[in-house]
Amino acid sequence: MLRYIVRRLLISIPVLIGVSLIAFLLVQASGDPMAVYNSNPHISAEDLARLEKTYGFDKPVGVQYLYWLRSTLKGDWGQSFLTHQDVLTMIGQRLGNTLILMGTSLVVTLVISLSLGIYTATHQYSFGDYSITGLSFFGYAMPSFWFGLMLIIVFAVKAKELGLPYLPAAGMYAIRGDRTFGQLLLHLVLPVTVLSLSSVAKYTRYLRSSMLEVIQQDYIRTARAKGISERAVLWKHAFRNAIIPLITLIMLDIPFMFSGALITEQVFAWPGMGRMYWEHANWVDYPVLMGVILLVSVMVVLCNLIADISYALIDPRIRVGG
Amino acid sequence: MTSNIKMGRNVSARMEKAPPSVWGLAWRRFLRHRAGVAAAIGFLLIVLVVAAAPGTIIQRDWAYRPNPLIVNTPPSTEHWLGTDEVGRDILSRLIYGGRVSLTVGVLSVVVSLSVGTVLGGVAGYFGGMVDSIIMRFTDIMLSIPGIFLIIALSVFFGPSVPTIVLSIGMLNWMSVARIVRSMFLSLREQEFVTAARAIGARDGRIMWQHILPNAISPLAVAATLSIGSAILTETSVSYLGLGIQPPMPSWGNMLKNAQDVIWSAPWVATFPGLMIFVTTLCINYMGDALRDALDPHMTL
Repeated sequence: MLRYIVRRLLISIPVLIGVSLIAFLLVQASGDPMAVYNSNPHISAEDLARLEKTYGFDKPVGVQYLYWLRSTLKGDWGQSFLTHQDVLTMIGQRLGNTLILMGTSLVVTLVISLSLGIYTATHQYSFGDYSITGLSFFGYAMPSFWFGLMLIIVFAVKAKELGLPYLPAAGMYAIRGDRTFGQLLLHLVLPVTVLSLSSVAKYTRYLRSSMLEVIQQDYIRTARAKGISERAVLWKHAFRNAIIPLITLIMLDIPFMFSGALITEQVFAWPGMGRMYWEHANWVDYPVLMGVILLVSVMVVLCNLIADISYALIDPRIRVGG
Repeated sequence: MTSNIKMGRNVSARMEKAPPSVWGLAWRRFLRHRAGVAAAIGFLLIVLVVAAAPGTIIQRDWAYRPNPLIVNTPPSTEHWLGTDEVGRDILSRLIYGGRVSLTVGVLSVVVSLSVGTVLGGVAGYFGGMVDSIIMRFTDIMLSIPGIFLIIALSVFFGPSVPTIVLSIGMLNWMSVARIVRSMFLSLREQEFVTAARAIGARDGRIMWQHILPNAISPLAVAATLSIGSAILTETSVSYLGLGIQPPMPSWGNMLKNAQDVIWSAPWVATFPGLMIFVTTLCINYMGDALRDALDPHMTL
């Protein structure tokens, strides 16, 4: 077991290096970071050249990458070209906000999809099953930011016009007033709904088919023949076995929620990492961009590893098989 | 006696009719899915309108020329879906934009299918070191969150239709490669491959002529579902401003400017998204019915 983990970790390192190299090349190629200074009349051509030399832009790309790699590994993630703040500090400020959004929507997703999945599996072919399956198709097909815009129209615009209590449509807290937990919850409602929708659709369907497969197994029939109550059969045997592949699916999905969060943060003006990336991408502020990409890639690799390990831990058959 | 003769006649009549082919069976199974058939009809209708209406019923002017006098008017008899923030008719723009969005969706799936099939096929057929290298590369590309990749590509090449098609294609080829690889891995052990090798067929010919046609079914399903997700991705990218640039309409960039006027003119945002939603829904239902129809384990 330990050897497996160590081997996977060792393989992850070249993967991470490969990711950072490709990302570095892409970011470098996407534009000129010195464009930040183009609109500044006080900077002359000599100043620009001097700045380029200081930042090392006149060196070949490979050398620049090695410089970046060396300082990143030492813990110095550089300073933003745009705001001249320390990149690690900037990420630290915004990461928490993104995690709040993603964490809440993950919890909501799990609660809803687990309950819906079990319900549709046990009440197969019922009206509830068909309508929930139909709704999950809807969830798949829905463009997330359009859904966000529609929610804003209904719950913020129209509700305000009609004088009903309305939900806030932007930001984490109200502009005026205290930053209370209640404010946070209110502001979370709409973005979390948008972010969770497609995940709920996917996991509900997956859990449904997984549970249906498990329920047909022989050991369920044995358990029922032994006289165990239906509820115990469901929870102790069927659910536990059905949820194994779902756990790995969720683990693998977590990094991709970052992409979804980027759009959602844009729609709802949420001060998170996705929005920060977007704001700095146009200015090719590559310390910030590389920092974010590296962080997300590390998360991807880690989540893959945790998914594989948890799969091996939960299902003893995997361990024996190698 | 007479009954035997009758049976004899029936038997020979039945034997003269050809047995149902694999595709015939699949077609019949597809038709049993009412939702899938309805979705397919809906999708074909959309494609028909989007392909035929521009130039004939809908003038190009209506979708492209701004008219500051009628900015942000709600739906009326003259403009069935209202006008947008520079005074263009939304319905016309939806139809012209449909051309762009659907083309981008289909073309990017072609790109990801080509790249994925080649890489996955080579990896699955040759195995060993080649397989490891290609799979490592696929893992690396999967580790980069898609949005970042698209942003970088769009900022580098400049936003345009070919860039978008390439970017979205580059995003989706990984899952195609995985599917193709696993199919090739299992199919290359079959006897017809050994037979082909025995009579001297080269590797390329074996892959293209013999193995690939057997791998088509899961590919077809994946391709159909990919079109839906490609359209959704195009809309997200255009929403960020990196995709199709105005004045060329696409369902995504129509939504981009709609957010600014959402408080005063909510219809500008409603209809493009509705089109995206309905189209993707039809594609998903079609893909689902297709998957059930082509499933070799299901009996009729």
